[in-house]
Amino acid sequence: MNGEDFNEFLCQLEKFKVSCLAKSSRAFEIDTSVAPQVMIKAKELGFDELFKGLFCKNEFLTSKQFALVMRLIGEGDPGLGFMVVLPALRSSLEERAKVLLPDYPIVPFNNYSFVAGEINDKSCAYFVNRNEGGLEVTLSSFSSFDEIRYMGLRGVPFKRLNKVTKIEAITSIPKEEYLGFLTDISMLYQAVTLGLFKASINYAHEYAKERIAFGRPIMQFQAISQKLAGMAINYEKANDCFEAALVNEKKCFDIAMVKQSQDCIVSVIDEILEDSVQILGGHGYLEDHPVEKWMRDSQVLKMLICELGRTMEYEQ
Amino acid sequence: MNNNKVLRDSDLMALRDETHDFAKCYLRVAAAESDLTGEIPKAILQNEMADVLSKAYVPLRYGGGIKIPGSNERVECSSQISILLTEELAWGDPGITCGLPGPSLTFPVLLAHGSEIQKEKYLGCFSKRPNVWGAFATTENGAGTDTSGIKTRAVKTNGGYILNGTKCFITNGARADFVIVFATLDPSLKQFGHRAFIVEKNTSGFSVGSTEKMMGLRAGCISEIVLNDCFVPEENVLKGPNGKAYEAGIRGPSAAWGFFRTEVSAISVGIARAIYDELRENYGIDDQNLKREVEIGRRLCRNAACLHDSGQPADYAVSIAKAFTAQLSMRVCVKGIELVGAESLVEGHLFERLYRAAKAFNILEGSGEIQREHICSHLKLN
Repeated sequence: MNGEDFNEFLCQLEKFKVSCLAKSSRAFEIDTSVAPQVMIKAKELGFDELFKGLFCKNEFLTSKQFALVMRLIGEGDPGLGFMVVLPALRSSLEERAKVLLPDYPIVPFNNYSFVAGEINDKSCAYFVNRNEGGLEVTLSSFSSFDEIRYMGLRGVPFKRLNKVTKIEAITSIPKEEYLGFLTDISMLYQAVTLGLFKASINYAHEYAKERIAFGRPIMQFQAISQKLAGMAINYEKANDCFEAALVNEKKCFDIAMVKQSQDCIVSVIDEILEDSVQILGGHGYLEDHPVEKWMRDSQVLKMLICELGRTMEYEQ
Repeated sequence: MNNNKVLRDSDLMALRDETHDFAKCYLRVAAAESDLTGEIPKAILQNEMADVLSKAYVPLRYGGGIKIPGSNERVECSSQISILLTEELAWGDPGITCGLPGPSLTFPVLLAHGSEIQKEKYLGCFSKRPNVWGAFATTENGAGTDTSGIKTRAVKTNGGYILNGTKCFITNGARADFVIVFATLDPSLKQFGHRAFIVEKNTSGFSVGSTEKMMGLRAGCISEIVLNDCFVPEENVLKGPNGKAYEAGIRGPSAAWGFFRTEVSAISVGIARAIYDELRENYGIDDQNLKREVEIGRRLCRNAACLHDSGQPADYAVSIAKAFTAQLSMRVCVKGIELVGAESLVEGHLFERLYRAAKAFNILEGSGEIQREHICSHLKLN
């Protein structure tokens, strides 16, 4: 997308972030019907095709534009952010496996409970399995599923599929392509997490400027300002690593750089999110402010990034 | 605190084991449900141990103290005994620990600044009937650690004071039979205008506002308290041993926090130990670094409690203990989650519940930053 069009798109996305993602954030924790409503809104705004093609090599967005979009979505709400870009995961796998996977949800990796797609009325899903010759995309059935509710990212469809049985192999997928698919997911997680960092630092910063204690804004106390500065340093450090993995404009991410960036984000995630709650003090611990939710979300994001990292290492 | 009798080590261990059994069989079992509902189950409130613990802090002369296991004798509950029991309870569940009946932060304030009649009435009530809660209310929306900023007004009237204002973050606020409320005669006087009042729950003009929706510690029932033309008689004003009401107003909060911060530190140690024990017993992970850190946290708590019991200045040691243990419990929770993985983040799992709870202890009763300020201002290395 050229610069002018992209800036206009970003303005619209910013409005979508504020009026839809951030606004529905709390409701999404307790009501899963919020996600379809948000996705309808995204479609009305014409974002659906763009979200679907996030990872496509020759369409729409450059790597840096992709990163900006995903960070912005993460700033709004990481859980809802995942929901609106789920079609992108399907497209990425389809492009890499050179096959259309239209009918059923996909399970990005076997040992994993994150199901991309609506599963409630389905009894089959697409998996990536290992066989003697390499990797293959299979259609498999399952007898039932259990909902998994984590302490963060509530509302995101984490499910445990029971009694999975292979029905048929759809196609084989080269190892490099599967790794590329996992790398796409990793970049998505990382960008969303960076968005979360940015949102929480900005929120804590604004609070510290407004909250008065001992006759002055708490921002003027070194204990607070140094904490904020530390959070900013951690963010810039993680963001810098992340951007280093974006050098290829066609979204062919360098796996080694992606792994490095992944480790960097994981190393700062606890400090940033815990400190943002700490700066708000007792208020940060209440559901009246989003930072407590972001802190819970961050633990699940960290788990997702780490598990994906382990799968990537295993596949390599 | 004067102890005419002291517990033998064997008695102390028996008491600790009794408390641990209570925490394991009742608190740990009810923790997930309590976290959802914010209630403390009847099975806990009706248990003899809850009654024993609720009056443990209360001095013997007001019917309190700790019963020596296997005998009918009672002894004063020193700070050292108290942190030992608190750690065991927090091991069971920190939320329910905070919500158990008892005088909580009112006890040190009443003891230091109450008249004999007030002590008889408000400390004595814990031994006369079960399930009595006391609550302590200084915090307001814009005044947390900076108590000088409180805006709740006290206006002198015939035979007492009229209170108006709203207090927030009051532990057991909705359950309390009486609350010690801090209010100001004139905000421009800062803390010199503060007075402490005992307000009973049925007093006209006293009401409980919303219960705060929090990330964790929900069984602590942390609520708002609203005072709307609430009349408090003169005999319910805390005036201290010298009859000087301003002393209770100025020193009341620090008396309460000085004692309770050690307790809060013990809760953090209990959380960290719960994670360590779970890793060892159920996941076969015996991490010696975690064990060592828990031991260090416990020693720092004990050091602060010893100083407190011997009447020596304890502010520095208390702040060191609180600053260290609050971060310790978070560190250990994060480590536990990392070691166990996704399973530990599923709602209702011990680790996710403790992770959410642990964060509170770096905030309440003086944040980590405030403790560091105290440490610097009292810095004097041995």
